[in-house]
Amino acid sequence: MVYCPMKLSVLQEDLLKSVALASKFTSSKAQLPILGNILLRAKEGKLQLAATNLETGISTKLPAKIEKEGEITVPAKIILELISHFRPGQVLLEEEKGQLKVSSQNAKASVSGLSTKEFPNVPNSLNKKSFSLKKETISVLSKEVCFAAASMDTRPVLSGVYIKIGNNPVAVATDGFRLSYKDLKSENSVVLKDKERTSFLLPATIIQELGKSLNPQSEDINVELNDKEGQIIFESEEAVLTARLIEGQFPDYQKVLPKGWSVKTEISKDELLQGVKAASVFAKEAGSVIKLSFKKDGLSISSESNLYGSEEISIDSRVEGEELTIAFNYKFVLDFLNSITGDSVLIQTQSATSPTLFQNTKDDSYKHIIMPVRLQS
Amino acid sequence: MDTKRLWKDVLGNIKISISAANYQTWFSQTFITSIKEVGEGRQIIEIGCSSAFIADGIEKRYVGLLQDTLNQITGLKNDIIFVVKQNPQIQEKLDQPLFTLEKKGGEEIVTSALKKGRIRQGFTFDNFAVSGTNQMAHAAAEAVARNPGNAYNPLFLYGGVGVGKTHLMLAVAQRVLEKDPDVSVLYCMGEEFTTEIVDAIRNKTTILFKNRYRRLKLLMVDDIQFIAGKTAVQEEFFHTFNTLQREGGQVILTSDRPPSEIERLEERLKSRFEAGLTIDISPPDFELRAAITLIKAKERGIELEMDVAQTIAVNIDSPRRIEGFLTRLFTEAKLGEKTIDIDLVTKLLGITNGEARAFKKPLSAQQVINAVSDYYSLGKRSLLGASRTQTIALPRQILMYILRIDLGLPLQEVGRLVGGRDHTTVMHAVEKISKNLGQNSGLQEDILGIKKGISP
Repeated sequence: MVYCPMKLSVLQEDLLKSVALASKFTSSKAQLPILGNILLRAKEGKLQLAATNLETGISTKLPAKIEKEGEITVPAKIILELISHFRPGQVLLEEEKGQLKVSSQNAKASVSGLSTKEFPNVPNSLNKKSFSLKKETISVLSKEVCFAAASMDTRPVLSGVYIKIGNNPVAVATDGFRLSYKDLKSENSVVLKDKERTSFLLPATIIQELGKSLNPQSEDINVELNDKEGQIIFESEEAVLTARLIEGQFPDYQKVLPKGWSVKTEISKDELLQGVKAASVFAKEAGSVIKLSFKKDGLSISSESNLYGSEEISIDSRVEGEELTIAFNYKFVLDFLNSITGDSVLIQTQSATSPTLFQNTKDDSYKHIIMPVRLQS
Repeated sequence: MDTKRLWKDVLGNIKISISAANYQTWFSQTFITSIKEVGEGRQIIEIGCSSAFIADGIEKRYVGLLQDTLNQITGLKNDIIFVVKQNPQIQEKLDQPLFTLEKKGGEEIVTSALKKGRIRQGFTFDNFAVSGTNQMAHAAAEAVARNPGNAYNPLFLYGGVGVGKTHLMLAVAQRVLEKDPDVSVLYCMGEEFTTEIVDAIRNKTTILFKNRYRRLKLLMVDDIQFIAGKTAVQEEFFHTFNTLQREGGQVILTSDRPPSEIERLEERLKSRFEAGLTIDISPPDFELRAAITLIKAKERGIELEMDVAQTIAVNIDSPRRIEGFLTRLFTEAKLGEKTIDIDLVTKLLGITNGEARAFKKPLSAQQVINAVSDYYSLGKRSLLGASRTQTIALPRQILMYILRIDLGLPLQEVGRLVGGRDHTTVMHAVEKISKNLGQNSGLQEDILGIKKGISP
């Protein structure tokens, strides 16, 4: 295919939002330059953007006034920065000899592009709907569950959110150091329709991106599971996201859920958040470790760095059970605290080396478990 | 042809034809999932790709190249199908802390850590029998395992062969790794250390050697006396030792003699070794040998009767020989389908030891009385007489204690033997000696001395 002289105009606000979303799916450390590019295609009255890093892909559309249909790819980083510095309002996009000319009332730019010939195929619609997810479920998952999953490259199975459907639907994600467990029973009818599956693994990063891209007007998300292609495709009104279907056996999370406790406390979320943040000053210099000491009259949070000093914050709270000191990576505690809305938190554990339960006192459908850091005696 | 080899050849070819970036992006994760011959010199090759994007990309760009290469290498006509599949060679291990809670997973990690540190398995504190001869060493080793680098550094254990020096040392490593499998630990023989240095010097890899040893958290050198007299080796060990100590690493050494007696060991090393804790382990006593016999038998899945174990322990004085004897005993019992009892053991002991010593000749009270009177050089008359002088009363009480505890005679009988005394006197004596035994080591020695006089 030869370069088509594409020409269209869009609103800067729309374009910026879409480019920002699409650029998250480009590959920053790609060996092939084309994978760091975004595809722009003017077709059927819309501007379509697509990007992929060969693991995941996105295709999104935005309203545009098309004068001539055509397509080009441009480096995501450049176009994103460029557009963000344009003023809101109409932007004219014009393709000319492998260059994308971007102009508004007061600015003019020209970006070197690459041929679309090399650009991989990115799905822009579903072939067949396997089931659908409620948008509320997506936002719950992206807020309370996804952050506990491992990053994409390390452990494919742990990069997924495990969803069990049926009478007792649950969602679980873990990176092996912490685990988020969400009972979905209260989220009525999570899955509107499904094939013969009882559980599946959804890529956590995609759910998170989906969650971010949703707005109050959004409708439910359609999902296609394609075993043959090894793909899972999500279609929302805003975008079509494609990811690799995660294969493998999700670890037995039931074993990790604590069965009892030897000490527990209920504590103000804000005070705990303040305390953890304060302790993180020194913890940052000492392997991110903070210590929580359960004492009769409350909880104390301390951190210590050989080089810089130490700190202790005491918080009054009702402690039941034996006195105990337990250490955590403060980032995990912060991640949990940032994932809940309530004003009080329940912490309970069995010993200084047992998986420890954190939860919103008022919401026991969401349980977060953090593995303590072993203290060198 | 083996599919892996075939694919390697194909990739090798393709690598030459296309740019490195393209090769890396498209082909690096591919593999052959299956080959199906369909006759007439044709076959269908299924190629696994890590994602649909990649399968699509290869199909669009390189299917011709791939086909030509395959045809050339296999000499057949190839049809290619793409599937999306994870390369089975990339296996996932769930070794994060949350999932290693289950014992099994944890053990595997410890095992691999042990292997990395060249530590033989099966030497733990649990299967180390403790008695008076090695109690100190055991306590010190436990302290070191609890708090490596801080408790006693270095820990220097010395003693004869088979007294358990190496066992204790390895038990420390085992305990440390069970706590944290990521700690860098290394076990080596003094001789290995020497050879490695010599090799490193010859191959000009001393830097590697230094890096390996000096970043350890726990270094264990068995039979350190081997480095004596070797200047370059001692020099290197000296520096390694200093670096480790400075960085808070624990050093454990064993030798067949104390540092001061190792000949041709540099003074500065001697003084450093002596700066930590130096403990000797004596050859095991009878009780310990019996315990070791029981433990070793249990490790082979056999429960020995106490009298059998004691018979073995009384006749063989080195734990290593006990182990050898047990191997022999169990083989004999298995092959001859005999039960393991005193008779079999004495028969075998008779063969290995010339003549087996019976475990315990029934002692007569008279022998004990003679032994006590010999030990304290007291006449039997005064020992059994009425005098209450301390110098006589104490030996008399000891005599009553031995008669009561070791011979198990009834109180009245003891009283009768010791000059017709009341049974309450005997009770008092036994009580007093038992109480003092714990606090007064002189008393313990006396009793051992007396017993020596009795036993054959």
